[in-house]
Amino acid sequence: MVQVSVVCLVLAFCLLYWLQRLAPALTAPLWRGGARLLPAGAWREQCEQRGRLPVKSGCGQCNGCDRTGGGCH
Amino acid sequence: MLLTNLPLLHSGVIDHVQARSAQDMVARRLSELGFVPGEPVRVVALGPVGHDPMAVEIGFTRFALRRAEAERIVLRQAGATPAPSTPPLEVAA
Amino acid sequence: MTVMPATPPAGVTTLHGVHNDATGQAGAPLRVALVGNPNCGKTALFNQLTGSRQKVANYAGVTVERKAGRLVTPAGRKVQVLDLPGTYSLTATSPDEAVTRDVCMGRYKGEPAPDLLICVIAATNLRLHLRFVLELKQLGRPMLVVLNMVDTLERQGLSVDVPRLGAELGLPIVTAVGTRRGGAAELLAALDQPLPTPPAPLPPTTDLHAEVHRLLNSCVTRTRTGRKKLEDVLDRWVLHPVWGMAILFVLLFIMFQAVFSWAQPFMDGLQSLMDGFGAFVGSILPEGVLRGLAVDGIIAGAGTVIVFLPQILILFLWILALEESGYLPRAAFMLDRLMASAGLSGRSFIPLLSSFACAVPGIMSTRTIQNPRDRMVTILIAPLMTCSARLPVYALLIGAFIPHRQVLGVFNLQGLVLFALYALGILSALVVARVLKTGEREEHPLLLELPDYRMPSLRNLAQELWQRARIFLSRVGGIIVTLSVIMWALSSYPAPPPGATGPAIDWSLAGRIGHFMLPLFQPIGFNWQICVALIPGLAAREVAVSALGTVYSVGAADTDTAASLMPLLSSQWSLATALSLLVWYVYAPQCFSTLAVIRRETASWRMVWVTALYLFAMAYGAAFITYHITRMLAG
Repeated sequence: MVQVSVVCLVLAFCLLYWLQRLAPALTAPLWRGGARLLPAGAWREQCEQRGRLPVKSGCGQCNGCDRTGGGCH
Repeated sequence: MLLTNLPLLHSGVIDHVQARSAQDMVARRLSELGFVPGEPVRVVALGPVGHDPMAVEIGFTRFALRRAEAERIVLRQAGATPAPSTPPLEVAA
Repeated sequence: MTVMPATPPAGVTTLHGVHNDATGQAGAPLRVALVGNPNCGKTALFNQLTGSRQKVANYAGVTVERKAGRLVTPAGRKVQVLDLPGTYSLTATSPDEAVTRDVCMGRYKGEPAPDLLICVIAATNLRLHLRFVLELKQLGRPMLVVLNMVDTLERQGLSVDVPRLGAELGLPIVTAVGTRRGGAAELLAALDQPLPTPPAPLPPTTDLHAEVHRLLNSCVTRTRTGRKKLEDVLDRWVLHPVWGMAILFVLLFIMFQAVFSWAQPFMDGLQSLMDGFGAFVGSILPEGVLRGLAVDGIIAGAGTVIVFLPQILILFLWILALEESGYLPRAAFMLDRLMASAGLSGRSFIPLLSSFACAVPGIMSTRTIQNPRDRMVTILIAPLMTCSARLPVYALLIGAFIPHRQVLGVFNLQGLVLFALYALGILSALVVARVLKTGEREEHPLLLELPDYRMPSLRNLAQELWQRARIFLSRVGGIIVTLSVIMWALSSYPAPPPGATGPAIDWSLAGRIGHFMLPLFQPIGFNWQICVALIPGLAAREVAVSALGTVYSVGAADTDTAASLMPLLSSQWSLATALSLLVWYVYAPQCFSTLAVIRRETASWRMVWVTALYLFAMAYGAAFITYHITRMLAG
């Protein structure tokens, strides 16, 4: 029984890892919820950080830097 | 005369860089890289097919330019002088 | 170090920051940023300054590599060093250069303006690099100039009056040799000084080039006349239309030879190490699910990938050495015309070459391509370069189906098939690029600097290589282990009912998925076992080999899965199926990491879908043709 629960935990972790990688928008509420449960501190800050969705800006989706003299944002 | 007309291992002096449009980034970058009036340039190598691209030496630096880029660089009419070129440090007239 | 402020031009106030002696002694470290032209030896200097205390990450929101490191000065001041991407000017033409511009100007979100800009200039290329110093000076931020590579001045027959240059520039200046131990001592001492006053900007109408000439004429003297000998002699051969091509092909040939044969002993060693570790863990854990997870899931999964570390490192070593020596841009020069025929420029050559190791670093190195469309197309075709992860699959199938026979007396048939698979990938990439670029009228600038030749510094190479190894291993730790665990669970559950015959995988979820996928893949000759093996191959292509082993229930006790699989496969599959699978692997978009990095680099899901779908379509089409032609010919 102990073995099965360890395996389930590991599996759940792996699934969450991929969810976080592929669709961070889906796991953001989880992180925010975790942050609310935790006492204030470094851990809580970490959780809050992950709960925030990345701001869509910058050169990642830059196109036209070459035409506008680099003024893409 | 254009830079593209310069034979291998010959040098010339830049007259000006011809921008193709008001926002010609290539021309702008060329001037930033030092292709400015009065600079001596020397052709150090020509590409394997159709002499494209060409490698030119300007000052201490060598650049690979496609012919389309090199065509923007207009040389002074004095005609090509064979190597060695003027030492890059001296400002040509 | 003397700080001699230039006389401020009339009408320009120079009231900026104040001396800030207290910074860094306690509390927050001094934040400095290294800036400079490409090829100024900035990275070597950065490695020298920070040693192994580096952290490579991405800038927030973009995919430009952010290299930061820490150091402590002789006087005990803590300094955080940021290595900004090299740029020729603050007028950015690529994402890399835009980051440098914004950080220097202090307007990059999430990246506080550095306390001090350290502008690195190469003593060998003052004419170009001084212009950038002047451009940076216009920002009016505290700034320090490092005259790097002073050891090469002698060779070039030049001498620089350093104090005078500093005085003329109105900036503190120190000298350094980035590649020599202790070569940054002056810079470290300078960091202990109070922050220099921000320089007075030149009038906006100043002709920077004229100013550079003035500086050169007053501070640099030629001690000996004569041209740059080494570059003249070497470039005559290296850029020669015939000899240059020959040199390029010999270098590439040695590179592939090195990757495939030199790495072998190391790979064998790692393989037996992993096998031994798996056996050891298996012996200490009790029989049950936990042992299955640890041995078959985690260790077997990570092991099959870690084995490729030597190959990847050797490939990177070559590419880094070629890059450091200054050869790579020359290779781009030689191949520019070929790339132009596909609508790309020579700049795309470097990322594509890296993609032979792995498409992930290849795609990441497309950042230096300024033209966004060129960059997109290069990213799209990078997965077609045969990466090292495909090798195990090729090796297995070629070993099982292609007879070991000499052709024309010299060539080995197996080797020829392997070469043909590589060539197929390259040719397809050129065709795809051509198709994607049809009808495009836009110009593709090459404008590539051919830097001076340099002897690659071993210390620097080792450090860069260590970075790559760390990135690779963390990838194994994250992506591959987690996926192996998921895959293991899928292929073990639900367990077969008691008394069931046949392999357990038949009953599992993975087995069902395999049967479910069969109708789609039957037309190209795949059986359900191959379909199952394709799924874990999504995580990392090479896992397909171990997955086939699982499916054909080759005992896990066997140390060499591939060797025991070969006879089994050749008896069960037809030649047509094997060839079809080989061709499938040339194209198939089977690598989550590649798709993930495309998502990151382009910030668009559309690109990911486009890549995945076009590769899938090509793979399916090519495999279909191969399967049916082989069946017709072989009967």
